[in-house]
Amino acid sequence: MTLAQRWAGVDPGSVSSEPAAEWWLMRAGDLHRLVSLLTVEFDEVFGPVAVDGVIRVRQIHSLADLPIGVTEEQETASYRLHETGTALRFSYGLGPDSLKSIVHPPRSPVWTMRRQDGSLVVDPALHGTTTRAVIGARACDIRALEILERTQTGGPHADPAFTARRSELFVVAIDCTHPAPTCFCKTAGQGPAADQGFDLAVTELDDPNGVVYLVRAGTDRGRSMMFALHLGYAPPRQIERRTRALEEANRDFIRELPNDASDVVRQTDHPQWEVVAERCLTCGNCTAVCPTCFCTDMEDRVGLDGETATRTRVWDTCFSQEYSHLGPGPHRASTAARYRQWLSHKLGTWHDQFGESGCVGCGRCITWCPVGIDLTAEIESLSLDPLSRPSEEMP
Amino acid sequence: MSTAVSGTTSPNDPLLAPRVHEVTAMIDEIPDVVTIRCAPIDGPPSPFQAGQIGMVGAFGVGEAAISISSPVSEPRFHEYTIRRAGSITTALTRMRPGDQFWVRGPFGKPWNLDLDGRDILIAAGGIGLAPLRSAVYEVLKHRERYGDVTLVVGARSSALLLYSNEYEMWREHGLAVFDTIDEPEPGWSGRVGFVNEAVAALDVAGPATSALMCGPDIMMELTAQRLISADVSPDHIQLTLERNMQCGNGLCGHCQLGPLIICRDGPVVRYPSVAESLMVKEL
Amino acid sequence: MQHASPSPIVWPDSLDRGEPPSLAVWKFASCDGCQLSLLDCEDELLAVAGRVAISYFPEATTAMVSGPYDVSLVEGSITTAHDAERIRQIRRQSRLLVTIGACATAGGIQALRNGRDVDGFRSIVYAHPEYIDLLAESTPIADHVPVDLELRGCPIDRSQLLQTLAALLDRHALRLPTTSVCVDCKARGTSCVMVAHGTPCLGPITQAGCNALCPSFHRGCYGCFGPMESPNVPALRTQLELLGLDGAGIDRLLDTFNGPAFAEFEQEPESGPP
Repeated sequence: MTLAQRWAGVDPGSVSSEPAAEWWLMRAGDLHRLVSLLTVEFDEVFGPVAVDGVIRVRQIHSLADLPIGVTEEQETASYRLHETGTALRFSYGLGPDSLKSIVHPPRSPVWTMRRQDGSLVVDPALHGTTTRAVIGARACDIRALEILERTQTGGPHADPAFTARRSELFVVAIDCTHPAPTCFCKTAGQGPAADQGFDLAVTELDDPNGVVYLVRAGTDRGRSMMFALHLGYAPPRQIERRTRALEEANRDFIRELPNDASDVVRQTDHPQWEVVAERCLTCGNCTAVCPTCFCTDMEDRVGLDGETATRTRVWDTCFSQEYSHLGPGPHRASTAARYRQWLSHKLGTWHDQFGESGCVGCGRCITWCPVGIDLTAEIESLSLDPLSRPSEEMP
Repeated sequence: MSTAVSGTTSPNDPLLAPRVHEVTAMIDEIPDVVTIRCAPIDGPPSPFQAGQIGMVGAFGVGEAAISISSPVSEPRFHEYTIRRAGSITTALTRMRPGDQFWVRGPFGKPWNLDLDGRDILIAAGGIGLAPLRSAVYEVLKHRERYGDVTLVVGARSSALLLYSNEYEMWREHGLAVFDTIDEPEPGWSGRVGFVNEAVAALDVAGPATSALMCGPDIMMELTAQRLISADVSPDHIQLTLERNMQCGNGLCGHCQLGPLIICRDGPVVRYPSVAESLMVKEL
Repeated sequence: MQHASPSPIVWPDSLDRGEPPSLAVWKFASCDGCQLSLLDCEDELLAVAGRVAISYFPEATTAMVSGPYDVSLVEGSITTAHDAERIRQIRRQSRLLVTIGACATAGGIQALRNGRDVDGFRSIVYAHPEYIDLLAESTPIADHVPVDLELRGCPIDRSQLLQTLAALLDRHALRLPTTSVCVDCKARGTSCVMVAHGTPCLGPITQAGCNALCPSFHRGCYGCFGPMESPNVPALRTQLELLGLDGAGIDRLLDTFNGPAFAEFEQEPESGPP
């Protein structure tokens, strides 16, 4: 019996809310064995890979694909990767990719339609049985995955492609000991340690005797995998070190999301929308890197033979005019209206539609906005009474 | 936190899969507006409720959200009344009998017609009568359940009054039809003025009246205000909204209006849920 | 003038169904690169060979069929009085006129001379400047005759050209993106060259369609597809200054392929209450 067969009867949604009592200790060699086991047990394994100076989420085939001894500096509109010379593999903040790129990819086939004997025939895309695992997910990404899932499966009709990609995803979380200065997960509701939604969660700690990894299981299939690797339990000393490392990480946050952000973004006539519109490029980078932005368009294309047409679901952005095009033209023609739609949906009307906020505080939109628009700063400006603001800031 | 998987997860969700339809008739209505009469090639038309939408698609071009405008009780075919505007509606309105296209759905919240004993006022501007037509037939079919039933329909000119050849039949079945045009024109002896003005001229029995509306946002706004000042409860004003829709089932984000996802929470909504949003430009 | 096409293109009813449409390819001031993009589509062109009648295409065939033509693809910009007359003749003979490439849609690289000393350039470049009869400016085709569709880029994108032909052959609507190059960069997984490397890039203000070709080779976008639907040129200018470019450097970047088209958006972005 393979592990995959053994897990077949396990409900993947049965995530325990408390971390398991067991803490396993891994060293680099064990991590290597874990990744190898993942590549054996799953059709596709995703993890962090350094590409062109950026940590991306890509398909990996062994531990060697992961970066080692690198860290990054992030600020508004800036991201730089540096060598550190350490043996650490997870000592950096978030890159531009979240789990969205795995479960809700930029392009997803919907159907092929063809003319045959004078009739239209529809061949729906097969969503297949490909099994997937990911290593390196942060607490904010796991939270974002749940938010994204609610948008795509919580309504009257679940998206079958999303369901297929999400339901069997095996998640190996990494506790975030290096939050970036652009992050604010603490005030957005979770992190930096993963507390739920994972199969396995790993804390990486530097140690005089080499890097150690403390592992805990969140599901039965995660626990099965730990047993399969025949690992020893972690000594209490290491667990204390983990606690201290996470406490330290949790102090590192500069940015914050205020509690009343949901009300603040609903001020539809606040002059700040015009102010931010002067800087906003409407380029759509923020929605692309946002781990919960789910909007899509349908792309219908005919083959050159004129006999087949394919439909593909593609990422869209509320920053485009076409997004709201209706009859005579775009409903949201102005940049101010489009930025307002994005931010007021993310932090405000998301609550009405899905019962929660759409922001997890990952800060990707701050780093990857080419002109460095910072939503936490925008919230701050929107929180000011427009009448009491200094006149030079008025549009 | 538990994960949310409450919807249908089958890849074969019939509402997500397109059903190939064949055009059985193309009916020219008013300039640039055509009604497609059609039926699925694989069986009877999908059941629907008055006010629901279908995602109607043309081969290789794309889909548009269109209200089903035929009677709910018609078992043989559906009708979609479409105005030629962009590429998709142009392709759809160019079809000929025998041509095939597809429909997904029906989607969305229908008109609430459980209004026994109440007066019903239906107000439509321009092509806004299309999403109301199935409601008109449904109300007339159960005419005895309601009090006074009135339709006010307006258009820019008499040539633009939609379904005008059906008004007489509707009157015979107990619907008081008041048609009005925006500007006087030669040969027109009927009402002149906007829909909200025609509604103002009626003797609306406020608290006993339920209203159904569709038309330009401004028409609906002015008519709603008129009705409220005539003591119609805002909760008894229903209207249907049009927004860009890509999926029809709440997954693509396009049709948001403030807190609402129109394809999921609408297209028929109660006035109080959108009154504020409709006042905000470009929301 | 360069026009984004927010509305989908609808082929006119006049294109008959059933008969292969006749296609003509015309060249004005340009490098031939866009026409070569058409020839580059060898395999795909075989698929349509029987479905389109190539009636005038000197780069590809010696056969010359006189007009009128169902579709004319026009490459190049108008730089001489003779050009200006010739494009009017072509327009009269063409039911649909599609301009291909930055020269035809925006004046091209040769528009760099606009507003400068053309006589001086002429005497430096040509041995016998007296033979050269130039207009003062290099202008896009749409400045002279109505244009039904513009395919942008230097050169145009093969896939967009094929989509256009496919749409034409079956009279399907054509939707070309009007969003930024960034949308394509993110979709294909290219890391942002501006944020991650500090490389100046026009991607955020440039219309998608090339599948973010230059950034995928670690180069900033040169803006050859021209302005996207709502380009905020002043805001990008500010950022490019932060990345170390001076005003002249930014001007040079903006001017290279679509100077006149971007210049229209140099003012502050549109405002007005949302």
